[in-house]
Amino acid sequence: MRDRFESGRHGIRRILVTALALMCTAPAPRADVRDVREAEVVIAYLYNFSKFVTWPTTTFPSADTSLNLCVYGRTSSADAFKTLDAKSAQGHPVRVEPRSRGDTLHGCHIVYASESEQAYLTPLLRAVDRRPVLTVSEIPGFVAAGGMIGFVRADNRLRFEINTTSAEAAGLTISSQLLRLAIHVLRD
Amino acid sequence: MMGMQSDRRIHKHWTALLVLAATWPCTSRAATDLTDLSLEDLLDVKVTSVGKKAQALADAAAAVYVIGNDEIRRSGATSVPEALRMVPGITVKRLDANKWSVSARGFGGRLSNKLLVLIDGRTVYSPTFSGVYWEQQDVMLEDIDRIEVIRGPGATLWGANAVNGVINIISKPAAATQGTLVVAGGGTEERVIGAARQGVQLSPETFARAYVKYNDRDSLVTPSGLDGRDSWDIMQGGFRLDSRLAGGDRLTFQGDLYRSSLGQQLLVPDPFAPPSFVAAVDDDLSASGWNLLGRWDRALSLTSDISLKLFYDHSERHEYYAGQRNDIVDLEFQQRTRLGDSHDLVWGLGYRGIDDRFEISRLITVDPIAENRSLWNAFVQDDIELLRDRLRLTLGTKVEHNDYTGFEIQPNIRLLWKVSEQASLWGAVSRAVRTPSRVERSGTSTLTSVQSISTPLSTLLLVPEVTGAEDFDAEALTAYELGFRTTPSPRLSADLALFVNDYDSLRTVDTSDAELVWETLSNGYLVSALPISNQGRGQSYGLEFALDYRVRDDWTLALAYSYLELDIQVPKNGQDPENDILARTDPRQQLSLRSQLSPRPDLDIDAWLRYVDQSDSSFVFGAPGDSVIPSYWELDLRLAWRPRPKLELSIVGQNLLHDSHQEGYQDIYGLTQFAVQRGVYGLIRIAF
Repeated sequence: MRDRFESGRHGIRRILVTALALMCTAPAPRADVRDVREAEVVIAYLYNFSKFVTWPTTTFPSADTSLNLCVYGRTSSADAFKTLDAKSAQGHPVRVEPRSRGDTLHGCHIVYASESEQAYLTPLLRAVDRRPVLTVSEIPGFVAAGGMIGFVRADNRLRFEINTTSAEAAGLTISSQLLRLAIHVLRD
Repeated sequence: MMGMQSDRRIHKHWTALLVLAATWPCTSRAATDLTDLSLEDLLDVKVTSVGKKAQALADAAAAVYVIGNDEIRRSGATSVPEALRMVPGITVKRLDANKWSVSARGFGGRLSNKLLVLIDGRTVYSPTFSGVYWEQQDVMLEDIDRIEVIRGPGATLWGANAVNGVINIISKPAAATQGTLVVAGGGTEERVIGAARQGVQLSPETFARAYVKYNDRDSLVTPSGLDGRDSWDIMQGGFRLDSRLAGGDRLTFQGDLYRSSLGQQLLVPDPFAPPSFVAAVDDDLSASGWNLLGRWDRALSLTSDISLKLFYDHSERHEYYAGQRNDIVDLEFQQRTRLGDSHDLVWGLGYRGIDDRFEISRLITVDPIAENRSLWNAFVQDDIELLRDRLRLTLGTKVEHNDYTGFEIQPNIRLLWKVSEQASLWGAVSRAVRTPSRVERSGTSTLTSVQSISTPLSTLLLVPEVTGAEDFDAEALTAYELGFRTTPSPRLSADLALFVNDYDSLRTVDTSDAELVWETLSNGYLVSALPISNQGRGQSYGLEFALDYRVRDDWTLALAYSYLELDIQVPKNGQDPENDILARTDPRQQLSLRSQLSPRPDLDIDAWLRYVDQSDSSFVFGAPGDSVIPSYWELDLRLAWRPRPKLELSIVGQNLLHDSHQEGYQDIYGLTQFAVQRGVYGLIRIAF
């Protein structure tokens, strides 16, 4: 009985070590294969959105007024969002502002609601209702609930849908180029 | 001596593994800047899901493992317990064709009682014995969103019975299961597999689905190759409705209905059947039930939400030695609110009412045969952000009142440190209790070990009975846990959990407490009553390791390994004085390695290799060591082809390495060995 037990234990160790070694020596991802975290794609989309949305002229009194992107809720990609900080969109410097649940959304031009805020979706949308704030989120059903741009995962890729009714009510104009690429556009 | 030597060896090999895990990042890489890409290019970027899953868990200060819908499908598992074999630290034994033992961190067995199992928030452990009748907990596997498995105490949030773990089966919202799905198949062991589901959109914000499913499963075999006569079938149907109201409130209403007939082979004590005093019973049992659950969620403000959940669960089970009916009503209120800048507070109140009725037999009696009891609880937990996005402290406690042991307090403290975006470290200390079950307080079970004692006057037949005790108290656990998680690249995630569990007041049977029930002499035998008590105590320690590695876009490997050591001290006069068996009901080591390969988008080639160390039955019969279940390796293979996107044909081979292998004993009265056979089945899945 003891013998069988011992050999079992050694067998296991051999397998574990081999498996670990195999994984380390497995071919590294080829350079041409794009292999990225979802957050990195989200951030790139947000930057692109900032270029295809027109805010009311009163929103930006001068050219050096910053375009504030508020990251609302808990995210584990805070550092990745900071890569947007040095960039400019429509001639305005982009500023990334982390906001915790319950923080005011004053001064935000874009609000990206993290998935952690799913339960608070309705009051969150109410807080920015009819104000010139572009709302973006990965929360399921975001666009149907009155959000403006919602991410949808399809076939391992990140796509988006747009609610133009909400955007227009807030005084925002979304360019036709962006609308054309949406998988679904919600209109009245 | 032998034990100490091997312990040291184990430690050495653990150190090596820890070093390997810590120095892991062979393929570490900084974040990519994609902001130069155009929108059109972004639409084409593939995102990996390994990182997404790991990220969702990175915030949890507990040993959590999540099984996704896709993993269930690609595992070839046809039931929830079979799918749970992939979770590190969970032991699954198929005891006969229709019985499973599922345990976390020890104490496995048919009557294993330290796990809390929830289906969409509905508690499914049986108040009769605090364990789970897994064969009665069926779900439409295709509609499962995920199964969250928490090893270690979850009592503060989840409540009684969440001692060694919580298994949370979460189904998809109705909006995610629209259209028609038909699954049909069959094979050698899985004789008939059939399921159909229809999802509809009733209004822009209201979705619904209904399903029906049927499974017929073949019997296992005895070691001599005879039919185990334990085949069974189950028919189940159900529905779910989700709606978002104009004010933003979310409502869910769902229910299930099932009926099952099962075969089982029993060996029961019979004082009038010398010389073995054992009678074999070929039993046909039936089980049925239904449940309804309603849930209402409302956001009060940007920082506060409330939810109210109500469910009713009816279940019946009639077998040779007992019949039982349980009706449970459960109401739970919960509020989450943010206080100040750094406190996230959750508190709640709950009530559960249990109404039962038993049909007793000469083997098992319950007194009173019907009972009505209630359980009240209140809990509060505060998540404190000590350093924004870096350091989080969780403090909480649950106070519960039950009719058997009064107030029970179950606190926990947890700390999570996000070392970097790719790594987090957590630790926890918690206390949990397992409150007595109905039979532990008022049941009596006759054991299958009648002894014939020669006295000068005549031969006396001694019939031992284990009896519940009015003063049987809750079993208690203090757990110390430590964990580390890392995602060094989007293709790789690793998770390590270490624990030390300190148990007190464990259930024991002390033969020195035996009382002879002289009145029974008139029946021709003498009953010796053995009351249960809380004299067991002890420690366990171990580790669990999980690794997900996406080798290529079309190839994923998932490794799970666990190690467990348990040392329980029981009274000298206990049934198991050497403590070999109690401590070894779960295997010391387990390994699961899954490979999911899709060489073409329409083709899956999946393999699942498992190793399970030797273990013992949780029931003592014969000499210690008689009931050892040998270690085994097993392999499942699955091949699937999708000629069209909504049509999948698959063939699954299960337990391919042996004709048959034993995993456990069905325990009470189930003293026969049964072995799980090699099986093959085919499946067609059509969506339209």
